[in-house]
Amino acid sequence: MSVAANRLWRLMLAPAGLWLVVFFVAPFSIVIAVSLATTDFLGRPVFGWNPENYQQVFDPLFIPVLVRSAAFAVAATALCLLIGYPVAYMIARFGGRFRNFLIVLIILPWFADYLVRIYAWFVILGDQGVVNGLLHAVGFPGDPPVTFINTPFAVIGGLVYDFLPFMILPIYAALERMDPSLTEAGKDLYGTPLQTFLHVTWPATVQGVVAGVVLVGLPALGDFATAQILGGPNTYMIGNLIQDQFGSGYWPFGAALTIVLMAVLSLLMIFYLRSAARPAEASA
Amino acid sequence: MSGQAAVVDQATPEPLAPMSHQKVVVRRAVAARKFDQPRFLYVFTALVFVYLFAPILVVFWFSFNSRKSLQVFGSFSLTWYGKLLEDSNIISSLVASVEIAFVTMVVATVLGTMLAFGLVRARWWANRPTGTLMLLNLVTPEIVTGIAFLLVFSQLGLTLSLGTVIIGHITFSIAYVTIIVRGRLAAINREVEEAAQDLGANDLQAVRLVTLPLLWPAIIASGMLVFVMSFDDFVTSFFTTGIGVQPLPLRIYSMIRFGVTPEINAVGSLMMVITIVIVLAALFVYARQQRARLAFLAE
Amino acid sequence: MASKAWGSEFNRRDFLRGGAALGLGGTALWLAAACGGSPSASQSPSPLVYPKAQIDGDLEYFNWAEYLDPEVIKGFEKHYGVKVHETNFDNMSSMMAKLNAGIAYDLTFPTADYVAELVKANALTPIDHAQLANWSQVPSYFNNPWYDPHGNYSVPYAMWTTGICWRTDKVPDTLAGSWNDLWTLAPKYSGKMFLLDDFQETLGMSLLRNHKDVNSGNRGDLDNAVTELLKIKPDVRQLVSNEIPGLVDGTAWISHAWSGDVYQVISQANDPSVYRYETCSEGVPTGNDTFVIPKNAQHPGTAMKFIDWMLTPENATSNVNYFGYPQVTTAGLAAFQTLVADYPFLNITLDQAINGLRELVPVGARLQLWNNAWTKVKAG
Repeated sequence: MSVAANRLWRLMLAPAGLWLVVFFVAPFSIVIAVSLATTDFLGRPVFGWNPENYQQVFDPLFIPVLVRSAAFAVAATALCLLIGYPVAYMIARFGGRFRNFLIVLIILPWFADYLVRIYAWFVILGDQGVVNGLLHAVGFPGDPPVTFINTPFAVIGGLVYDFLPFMILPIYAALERMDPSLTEAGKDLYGTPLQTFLHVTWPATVQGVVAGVVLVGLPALGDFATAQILGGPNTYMIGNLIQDQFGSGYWPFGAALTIVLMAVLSLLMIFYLRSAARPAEASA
Repeated sequence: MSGQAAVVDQATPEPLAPMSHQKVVVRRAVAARKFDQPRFLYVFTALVFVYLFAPILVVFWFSFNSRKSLQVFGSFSLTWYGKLLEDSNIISSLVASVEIAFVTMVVATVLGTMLAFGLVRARWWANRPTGTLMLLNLVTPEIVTGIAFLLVFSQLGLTLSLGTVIIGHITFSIAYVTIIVRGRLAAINREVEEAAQDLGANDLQAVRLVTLPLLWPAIIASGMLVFVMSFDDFVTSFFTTGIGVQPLPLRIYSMIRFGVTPEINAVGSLMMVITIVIVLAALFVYARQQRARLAFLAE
Repeated sequence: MASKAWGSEFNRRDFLRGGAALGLGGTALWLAAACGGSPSASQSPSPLVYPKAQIDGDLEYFNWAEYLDPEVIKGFEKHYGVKVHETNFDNMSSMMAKLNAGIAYDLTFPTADYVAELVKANALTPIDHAQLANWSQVPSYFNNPWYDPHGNYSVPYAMWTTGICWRTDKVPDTLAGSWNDLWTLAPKYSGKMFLLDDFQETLGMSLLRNHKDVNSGNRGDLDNAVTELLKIKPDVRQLVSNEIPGLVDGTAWISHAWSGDVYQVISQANDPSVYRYETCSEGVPTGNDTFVIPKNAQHPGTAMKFIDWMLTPENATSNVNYFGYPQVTTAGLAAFQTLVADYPFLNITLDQAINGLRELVPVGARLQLWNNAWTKVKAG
């Protein structure tokens, strides 16, 4: 490549690179700065060296919140996997010429606004919603017949509903790329569909599954709107804790929480990248 | 089980080739079997589709309810849409969201495309770190980046307003554009560009006249995606909004938080329609471009 | 797909490098910020500069939800040809958080105790009563209220009490007129009770129930208050900032509530006769809130005109009939008396509001304690 051409490409790289540094890297520095600050009596940050904020993050009081967030995220991811894999398999193997159409249909609900999707659960399963109306009309006892909103089930259901396309798409992509002759060979080798699945299909698609788990699990951990709107005081998640610090509490503590959350998610990301790198190295 | 093998045999056409290049034909005979994996899968998938669409269809349905209730459907009416039009807060929020999405789309697409070019073509030490930065940005949860923005803007004394929201949106959008465009760019054959250069074009002209047209479908697709994501965005807007007008998702959030009214059904439906129209338009344009390109190459 | 591409050009080393860069950059900037100085403290007193009461742009209006008649707002927009951009907050802490973020609202509605702190911090624009044509409507006490010496920075808005609201058709029990009623009813009506998402109100209420000071700065008192609240939290349906919709549509049958909100529930409900409201013997939190113009408001003139608009007798009356609180003007108070003739349990007098039990905003060390306690309640 000519020097002039290279210079052109470097110039192309610069603006976006600069933007990211200014608006992505730099803000983190301030988050770290605020996480070590304290506040004046109106709640405005006063900078200094106050690592107690980090100590507070690891206060045993918050262990239930952490455990709950992890539990919700794991539950939502597991459900997404259980529901998403068969659907992806069905579309990839048996979709035929409707495959692209079906995939578009899967993604379409995602384009309804995030909040509308959460709100839709109110409409269906709320105390005054469609399902309760039907149950009431049919004569079910209870007022309301089913209490769903403000329970953990509502939050997990909302998370699953929200993130399902993100599980289906990577698995579908992996399945689509799989050579069907592999399945053929598998059937000859292993005989039963279950064995074929375990020994042939699953290993070939595990990359897609891991991608899906990452795409669902990480945002689920940081979610707050679903828990706030669909949940109750007993579904308090890490995202809510952070949100409350900035909504009404103590910014430095919120900043410390954010940094710790970021660190944890980064560790998970590294974990994912290691598993993603291995097959790439293997095939090299 | 041999039965299953037979199913597979019938499902897979004779010359074995990667599935993506084949049409898999499902025979009726398959469905006639008793223990039928496909049938269970069909039903399950159908149920999942119902699960995916039912809530939003219900929202859509009840937006036309003449009555306030979510249990009794009175009669078909546009009352709530009428109320929407009267509510100046919502109209201004809608306009603001469109403005934000538009500006975000334009800027992010430009920056992202340029970044794609840089990442694919430049030989520079800065490539790796910038690529890393971009991916970090992509995987960082919005609540974290949102808070970072809030803190940076407030400590720098910048007034939170439409401008800060736009900055926030552009920042998370760049990565999406870059990934989509880069994939396409890497697949483009450099020989066409080199041919243009042999004919006398300089680097920039070669890009403009040859590469960009080939890249259009990806650029447009990513642009539309960015528009939709910005229009629908909640978390980043939540932390970067100030005075002026709130973007529509925040308005909806307030409505949900502070009092559920049936207007939300109407607003939600309206947002869905707008978004779906844009997505379909993008798909249409993309397909058209693809067809035109294929037709061109076939000649 | 992307994962393979990531594996090849974006590996763990780069990731760690990127993270280290962020960390180093962060430390460097923190050092700069720490040495650079902190936000300015209050300045020395200087002569007050009053904004002129004239329209100078659209109004950035920041208030509780459903706390001001939208018809009155529409009237203002129409009369002066400006737009009112409304943002809502959940509670006083949220309001303060947004103000501290530097968002330039023109008009907001803090409670009296918050005004006291805002005045001390020099965070408000002074208001010249002489320029408010309808200032005469405001009772004379507010020329020098306890929270704002000489009334330089605020105009009173409305008064309230906090108590318990319930519906007799679903909750036939006889209540004892005590905060303990919430504890007796919680297990019986699990999942049908609301508490207020407001740390002053909810922690304060628990302190009062234990016969402690509603503004206690004593760690032991607070810990007890928190423990008691955590006992009923599993039965609490939601911590709400607006209890009205839930009470109207039956999601909740009992709620920790503000007096005027109960009036709104009654006026919206299908069967108003079933709702009751009681104040509690251990202590009735009460007070008034205000109109204020934050210091960095960009349209203080329009804000002044809006305050004046709210003080006119017709608008005050209309507003009172909407939100059920006594607005602190002669016309407003009169309209309120007519309103509560049918619902005497919602009544509150000016004297009560001025001299009754005051919740004071926690500051300094007490703020830390209260924030901690409230976080425990939410996270526990």
